[in-house]
Amino acid sequence: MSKRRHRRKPVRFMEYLDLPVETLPGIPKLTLLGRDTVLVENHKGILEYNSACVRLITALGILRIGGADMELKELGSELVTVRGQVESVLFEMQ
Amino acid sequence: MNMRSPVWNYLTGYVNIKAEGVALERLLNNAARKGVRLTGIRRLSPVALTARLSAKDFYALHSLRKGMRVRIKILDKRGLPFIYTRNRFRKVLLFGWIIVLALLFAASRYVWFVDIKGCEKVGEQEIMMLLENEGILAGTPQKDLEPYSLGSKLMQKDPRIAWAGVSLKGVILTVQIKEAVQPPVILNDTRPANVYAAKDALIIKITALKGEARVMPGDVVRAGEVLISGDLRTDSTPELFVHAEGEVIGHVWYTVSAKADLYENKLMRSGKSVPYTKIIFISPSVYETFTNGWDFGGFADYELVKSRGFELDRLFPLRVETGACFELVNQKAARSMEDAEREALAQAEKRLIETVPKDAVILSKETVSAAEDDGSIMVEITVRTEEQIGKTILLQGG
Repeated sequence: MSKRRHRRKPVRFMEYLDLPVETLPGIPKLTLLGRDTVLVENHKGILEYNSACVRLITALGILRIGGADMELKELGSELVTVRGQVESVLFEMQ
Repeated sequence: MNMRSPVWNYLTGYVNIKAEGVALERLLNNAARKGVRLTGIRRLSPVALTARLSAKDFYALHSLRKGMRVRIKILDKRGLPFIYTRNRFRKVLLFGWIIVLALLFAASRYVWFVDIKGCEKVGEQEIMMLLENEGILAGTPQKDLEPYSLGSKLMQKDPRIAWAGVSLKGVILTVQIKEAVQPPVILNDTRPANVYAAKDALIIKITALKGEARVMPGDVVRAGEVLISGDLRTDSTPELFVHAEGEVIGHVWYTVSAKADLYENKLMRSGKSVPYTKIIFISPSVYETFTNGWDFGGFADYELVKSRGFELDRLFPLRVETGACFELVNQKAARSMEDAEREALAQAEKRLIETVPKDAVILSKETVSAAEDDGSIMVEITVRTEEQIGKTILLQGG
């Protein structure tokens, strides 16, 4: 619990200064385009990938994108574009 | 998004690969970390996926797979560099492409089509002639064209053209014209004349511009009757004649009929036939011959029924056909009442079109059909039209 509080400190600090939070290093940024494309920036790798789900490692934990016909449209060191019938985007409990 | 466009991918070349193994996620992570850009990744099964990457990145990926027990196979190579590699020794093909492109480029410097719009009274051919006189026709080099001045020249050459705009789009020269409204022709004929009825009619409207109207709306007139008189003589003006003019609208009835027999002459097979063999070289229009001569058993009319044929089109442009040639003779064939009536109606309609003037407005139409004593079918069409019935004729001695 204390660790999570510790992680939120820089976020609050940035919010206090009225600066964009996404400029913080390591914070994943998710963009959902409609229901078929999810862009994830600042990921740290793919944990699992199949046609029903994509699990990505991020600084905040494992991000799970569930759906059907999932395709990695583009994969880069920091950005991954997932395309398919997106049904859920959630962080897994650790 | 830092994504390369499909066009760029095509220009730089890309390969579609299939990776098989148990540590595919590890391969993807390593590839991403090393800057190998993978796109269109699809999982086929737990141990296989397909992806697309540039030709340059393929070698980098290949070196990454070491120690991962992953097998990478190229499914296909696409893009300009691969096409070039495949065809770089085919000099004739390359030369052919260069020629084609050069011809296309050269052809695009000429006008190939002329599209004329806005012609109603001025004929398209007349505009074409004007353009030809200016040296513009299909095949004219575009550099010789001056669209703005060409439009002005067209306007000057034909007074019926109020405005002409010429534009060039690709190889199509579009000429848009706007026709001028012509002033009405003022007739100044002073010779004495009457307006007569051209046909039997019921007068609906009469407007005498010159002369005196002799009939009223609702009157029935016979052909030749005076409708507007140019003779205005009275006791005080013994020599007053005018050229009568005016519009006389009337209702006119037309009746046309046509007859059709229940029997029709039809070309039918007589029962006689001869076998034939036909050899066709390239196509029937080029050369064909018949092994049993040209007369087909002396039949005046015949019908060829092909029974067998084989073609050597792929090897040699030759086709051989065999079959039977049936003699056709004119025979009387019975037909149904409906068919006979349909034919009679078609004939009557044709006559009607020939009889009724084109500017007449058809107000009503009645069709009656009846069987005649001789077994034929008679169809009669009666139409009522509204039309101009006046005809100006000069008076004797005028």
